[in-house]
Amino acid sequence: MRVDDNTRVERATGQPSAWAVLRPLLLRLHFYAGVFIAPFLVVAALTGLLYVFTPQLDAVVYDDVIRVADQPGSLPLAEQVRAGMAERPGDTVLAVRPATTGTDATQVIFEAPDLAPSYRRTAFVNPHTAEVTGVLETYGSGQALPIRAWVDNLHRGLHLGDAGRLYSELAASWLWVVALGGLALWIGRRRRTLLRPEPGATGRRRVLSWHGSTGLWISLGLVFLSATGLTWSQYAGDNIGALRSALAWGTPAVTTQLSTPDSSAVDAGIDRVVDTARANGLAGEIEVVPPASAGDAYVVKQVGRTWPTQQDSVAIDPATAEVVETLRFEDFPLMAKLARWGIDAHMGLLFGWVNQVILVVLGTGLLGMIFWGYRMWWLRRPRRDTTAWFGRPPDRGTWRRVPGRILAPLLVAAVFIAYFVPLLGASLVVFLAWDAFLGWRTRNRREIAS
Amino acid sequence: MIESSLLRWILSALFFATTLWCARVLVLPSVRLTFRVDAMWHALMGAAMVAMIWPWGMTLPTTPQVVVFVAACGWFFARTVFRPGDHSMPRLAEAHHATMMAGMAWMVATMPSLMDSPAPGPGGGHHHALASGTSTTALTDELAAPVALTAGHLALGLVFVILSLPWLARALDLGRGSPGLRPAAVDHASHAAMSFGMGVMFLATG
Repeated sequence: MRVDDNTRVERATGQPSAWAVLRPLLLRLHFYAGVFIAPFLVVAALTGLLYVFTPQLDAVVYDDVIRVADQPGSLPLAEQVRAGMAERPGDTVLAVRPATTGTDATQVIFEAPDLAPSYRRTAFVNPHTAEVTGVLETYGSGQALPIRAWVDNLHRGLHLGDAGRLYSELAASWLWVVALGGLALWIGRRRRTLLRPEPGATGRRRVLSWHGSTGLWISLGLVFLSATGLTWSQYAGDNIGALRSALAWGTPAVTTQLSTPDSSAVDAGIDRVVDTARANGLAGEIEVVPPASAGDAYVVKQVGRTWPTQQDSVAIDPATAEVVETLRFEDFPLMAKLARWGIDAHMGLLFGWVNQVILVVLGTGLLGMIFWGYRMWWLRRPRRDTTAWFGRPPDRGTWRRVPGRILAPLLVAAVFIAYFVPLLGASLVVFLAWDAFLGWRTRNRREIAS
Repeated sequence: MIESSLLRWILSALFFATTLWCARVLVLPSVRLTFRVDAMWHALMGAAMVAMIWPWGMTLPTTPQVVVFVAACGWFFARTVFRPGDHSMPRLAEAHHATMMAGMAWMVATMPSLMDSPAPGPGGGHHHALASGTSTTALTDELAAPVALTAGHLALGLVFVILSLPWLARALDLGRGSPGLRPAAVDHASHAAMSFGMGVMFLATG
């Protein structure tokens, strides 16, 4: 609705429209959040852009470790695992990822208690010769190689531990608010050129048209990045995990404990286990987790992250190499599937290079919008007052004009969101306190002047 | 009982403040007896809510509390229907108070069952249950009552949060009016907070 339309509604009903009273409030929120959160978003966007290219970087840097020359035939997997274990005597094997193609190395993954949490040590073994091509520190369930792991931790928390993770959580917590708020403000203007920058516009108006039209195109992508990013966060992530658990939306897993264990039975061996898994439809990249203790089953699961998602898993009795439980990705709860797809898309893995291009567009678009946002603030600065460095923020106190019937549901919704996304709530309280301080200071100055 | 310590403290502060506000009416001079009785029920409700938030509140006897809040519900129901010469509060507001007291009695009565029931594990646990040979029929029977209770608590939670909105809206409008309306605004905000807090309690224990 344009300002004219709002005036028309106001004249007809004697009351301003809901949008007319909400817009100034939203504008001030968008301004404050934009100005103070943008630095965190810039860091997240830059490190995220770097992360997008890590699969290619890894492939180049570690090519001699993860790739081998193709040869006809492969040695038994058990022999490959023995070769890997000989490289790290005394280390406990966590899992094995057999080579998927003739040019892949088999990964023998070891526990690494001397490294940071989520890090493991992986021996890469040539499946044709059982020669160890290298041992690398790998990270997370995605087996990220050192470069990707380093960039991942940079994007997540600037290598500052839990304190550093606050930056990315703050950025993710506010990104959807800024994106959706900006979208509403832009559409609410109802200009003729909604989808593209205004031709012929100059100065601040031109910058605004770039800021708004770019935002219109990428806002849904930014909301997606914000939502999926929050699932990794410390505080909001815990709440999301608890909610998923309470609503039975968690990712299911096969049971490792056998119902009728035979402690005297001899292990059928990893090769038979893999053959059974393959025969049960587990194609592509798989991970074999050996039994942790007597009475446990082997777990074989698909670990491919590209579309179509392959995340089936089976539990296999080590004595008989027979499947005792099967879990198909198609039987996952919808929210567990969405979580899987969301995470893989956020990491740029789900749709390969197309996914990477989309993330690059979103990252550079976000950086552009932040630049134009600050530029608008600069262009709005008072020209005559040489002491003022930046433009005035949008008017404060506009909430007083919002009727209770509109403000009350907004407040209640804000309370719920603030509790569920704690850093958003805490920083919102800081913004409100700052706003109240500014109001108090202005009133004080007026009183002194009068 | 509320599991999250942050939520415990937030709700305790909220109900402590509303209890104090209602208790204040009890000692104010020249207040009608019916208003004093209204305030007494609200103060009792706030105090019982504070107790229910904490683990020690679970040790308080349930039956006397249920009796008190059923009586309070009856009082407000009578006020809604008969309105003996007092029209200072809209009929819907009295009905809301009666609903709140009924909700309170229900919460006190059902809380022990919810606290004793086994929570379903992550992922729904159906794969684990089948694999370990547990009887699914027995499991379904065992979980049926808590599931119904949980659904009831979630529904009531949403209802009470929504019912807090008219009170809050009015409080905001009054609070931004003339200074003489501020006490009325705080009174409305207190009712909004109690309804909202009760809704959150239902949601958190659901």
